Amino acid sequence: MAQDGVPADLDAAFRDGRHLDDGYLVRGARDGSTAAFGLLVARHQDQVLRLALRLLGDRAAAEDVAQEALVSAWRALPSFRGDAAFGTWLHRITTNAARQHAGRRRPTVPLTGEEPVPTHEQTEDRVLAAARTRALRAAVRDLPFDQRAALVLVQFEGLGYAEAARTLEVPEPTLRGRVARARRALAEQLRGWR
Amino acid sequence: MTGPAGDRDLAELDAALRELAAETAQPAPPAGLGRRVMERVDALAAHDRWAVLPGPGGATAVAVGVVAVLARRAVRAVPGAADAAVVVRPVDDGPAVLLEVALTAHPGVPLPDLARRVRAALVAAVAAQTGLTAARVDVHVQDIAV
Repeated sequence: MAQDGVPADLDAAFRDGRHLDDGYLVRGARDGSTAAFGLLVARHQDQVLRLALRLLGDRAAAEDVAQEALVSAWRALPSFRGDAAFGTWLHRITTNAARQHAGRRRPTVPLTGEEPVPTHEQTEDRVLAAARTRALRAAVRDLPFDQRAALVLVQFEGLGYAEAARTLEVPEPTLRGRVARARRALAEQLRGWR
Repeated sequence: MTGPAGDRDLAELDAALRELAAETAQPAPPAGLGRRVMERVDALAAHDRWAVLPGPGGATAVAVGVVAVLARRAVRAVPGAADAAVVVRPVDDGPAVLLEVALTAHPGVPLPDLARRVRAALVAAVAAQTGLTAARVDVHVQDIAV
């Protein structure tokens, strides 16, 4: 309910914490406030899930990894020094959780859960394009994890090389090398579909 | 089809990767993800800190939240005490713990005497039920029940 002179949307923003910046909530969470951490989770969970999905290519695995990453973030908060943005730090934790998951389980069958089902008439081009996308998705998944993570952060998440390097805690030239190797490997794969 | 990937291959790759990125840009909202995370975080927060009781066959760790719950019950059993909130801090992981009691008293009860009885009850209850030692019990009388 808006009070006299207080716009309704501002009032709502105060109630759900939208006006509070990450830094403020992080400080509260570090002091033990689970309510502050809950707001951070609500704010960042979509991005965490998206990154996990892009890194693993499997919805169920991505949800597990997203959950682990967010709980790990709570545990690791005392060591978060605030010298990186909270979002960058979460990206790092999510990538590490995904790396552990990828190391634990090696899928032996292709994972096809996220494929869109075509509903309209399919021209030969369309079929070919769909097959090519499927092959590319599989090729991305077959990359060594560190190459895949570098590629996903730069090319899917749109991070700059410097930020992606900070996220993965590697020197920028190393990061650039991984992206380049990943791209070469994928380009080789695509040539078969021309 | 031989040789290293050329510019044209990489340009095609970029287009294909953009498609793939768009496909995964907005995954369906994570149903219940936030709730599952916060359930685990709340459990961790409650049992964040432990008082450890070493023993010959192994250590027994008691979460400070557990000590606080039974301390609160012990306080409420003291005549003249209406209610209390208790904060427990282990000293170097235990077995000694420090207790801070925010006490609500019934009216008409002499407060220094009440504080003394609350302190004694807490020392006894913590020792009997957990084996830990209440090394210090600070009592703050912060309200009177009306």
